[in-house]
Amino acid sequence: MIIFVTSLDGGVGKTTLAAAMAYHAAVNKRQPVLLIDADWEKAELSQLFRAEYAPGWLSPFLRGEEPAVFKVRDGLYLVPGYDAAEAYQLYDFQISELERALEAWVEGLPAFAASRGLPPAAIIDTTPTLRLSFLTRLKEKGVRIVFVADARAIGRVSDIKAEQYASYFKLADAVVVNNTSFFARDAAPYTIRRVSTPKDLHWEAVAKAIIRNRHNRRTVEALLHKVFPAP
Amino acid sequence: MRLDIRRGIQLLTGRDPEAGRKIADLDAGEQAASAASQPAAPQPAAPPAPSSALRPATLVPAAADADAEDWRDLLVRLLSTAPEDVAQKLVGCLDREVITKALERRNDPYLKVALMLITKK
Repeated sequence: MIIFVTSLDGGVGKTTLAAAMAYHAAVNKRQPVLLIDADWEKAELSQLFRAEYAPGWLSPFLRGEEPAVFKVRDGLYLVPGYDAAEAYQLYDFQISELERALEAWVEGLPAFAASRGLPPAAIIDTTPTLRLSFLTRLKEKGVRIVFVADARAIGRVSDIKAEQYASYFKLADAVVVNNTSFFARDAAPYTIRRVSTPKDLHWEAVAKAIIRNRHNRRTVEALLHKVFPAP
Repeated sequence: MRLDIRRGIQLLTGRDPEAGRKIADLDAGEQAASAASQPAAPQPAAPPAPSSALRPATLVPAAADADAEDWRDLLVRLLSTAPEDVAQKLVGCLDREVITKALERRNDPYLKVALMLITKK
């Protein structure tokens, strides 16, 4: 089971949602999960987890190096993405190359996880605006797509943007609308209510702050039930 | 720079009996860091340190096994793991061209800059 957390715009809460889903699955539901930071623009998931610099998901394709896997908690593992973000800035990659590498992870993950004693289920945090053709290919390989949008952004989109959103919505297995207000929280199937930012910007504090809210907890549970059902 | 997809797939799907033992534990360090930062003021996430020195020692690339026959890898590994005085003596005995050749094996931007400095006249 592989879940891609993706979006059209940046800064809508993909990384936060990926961390909250992984936390709830691994810590509260005892469903082991491997998190992969495949946001080649920023690698924010690795930073949120304060993982030290180490070869990440792109290293097998970049240098033929084994990627680092960090054990965060029992049943929760992380493959960092620093080197992909670094390489994205340094080299003139074609997007199709990065897509192919990510697709190779989807294909190779069962064997990778089995030979290293890792969970077969993965939540992959991605870069915004992955191409529809790429996401379609992933869907055909059985990947579940969680599309994240921000209520403040989708409230004022142009017609063109609305069409783009519609295309991504159509492809997604679940659409999560982030940052909804109290009154708008039921406007979409999965909504995450705004919560105050924890003082400590650390993955666990952030995930707990999200889950502590009863509505958000229900949302994350329903979302996991939909895209990541217990075996 | 091009990505080598085939090599990557081979590495991901290949069997590495040592790989399971290479999983570094983020837990211990993080719990200590978390406990230390509890009463403190809000702190941003620690920035990544782009230094190979900080990489966990256990995270030896599995593919290194396949490349272990190459003399350049062996030389670099020898020099980097030998006691400093021994390494210094060895470097003193080696021709600069030999070391340059060994460093050229890796396609790494930091090494490229180091090579430029070494070969600068």
